[in-house]
Amino acid sequence: MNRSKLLPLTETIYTILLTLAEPAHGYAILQRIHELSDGDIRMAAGTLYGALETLVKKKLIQRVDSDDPRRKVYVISDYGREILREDTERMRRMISHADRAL
Amino acid sequence: MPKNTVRKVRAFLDLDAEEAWINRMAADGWLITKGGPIYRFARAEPGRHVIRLDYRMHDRRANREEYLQFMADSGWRHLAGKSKQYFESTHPEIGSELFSDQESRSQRYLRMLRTFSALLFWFAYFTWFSGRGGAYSVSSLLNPRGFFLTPGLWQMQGLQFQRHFYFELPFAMLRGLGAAIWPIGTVILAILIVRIVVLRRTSKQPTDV
Repeated sequence: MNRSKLLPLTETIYTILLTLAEPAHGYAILQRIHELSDGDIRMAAGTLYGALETLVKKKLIQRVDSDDPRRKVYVISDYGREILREDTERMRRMISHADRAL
Repeated sequence: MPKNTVRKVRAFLDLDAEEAWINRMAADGWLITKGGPIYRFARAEPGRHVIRLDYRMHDRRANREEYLQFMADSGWRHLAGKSKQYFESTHPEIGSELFSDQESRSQRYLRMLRTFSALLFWFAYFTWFSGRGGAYSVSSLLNPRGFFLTPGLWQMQGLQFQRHFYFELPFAMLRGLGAAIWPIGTVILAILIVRIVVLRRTSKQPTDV
């Protein structure tokens, strides 16, 4: 897959990837996003559900086995981690540009 | 005794318009129990309900159950629906929206487009397929006399003709409808699809209820 097509990541995608450094199921992801952002970001359930489907399709995250078949558990993939790092690097560069310019 | 359920016939493509109507019904004390086009509502506490719509189909039962479980975990009680899904917020003070970005809101229309496109494909296929001949072909519409099967009908005169003609007319019309249903369906579906494309482009974040 063409990497440049995925970058820049949307805030929704970026945040989900970040929270999936550790495996989690749907609702736990919502809670983690809320905590991670100190309450700034409250992702809605429908948005997360659709994003998880997309991320699995693009192989940025993968399903892991869980004891509860009614709650799918996901974790970031190696490829997802790579993309996340690259986008973070991109933003870091943007911030340094901004610091100089402003 | 007052009625405890009510039926209403409506058809919506616009999810925001439908959502507004479903919420008005809920405010009046009628909670949706079955989706359209023949809606069913049951008596509920009048007042503030927050009901939101998703459009999503699941190919497997397990996936649907997982979806409903996730929504329930996140504070959304499933009220009705197999493709158009109706959810009521159990904690409206925490989150009253099902979608938090514009992209995911409009993606509902994308999924709707997929469903309608698949239907359009089949209607177009049968239009073309039946157009190549046979009793119910599209080309038979150009020769409506062919829908009357009474032997020698068109050679009859006066009262005899009228009697036989009007006797067979309803059956002939049914045969004509059989031939017309595919092209008519194709045209209607094409119009609906254009409407969904427009809705997808214009769907805007609604202000909180």
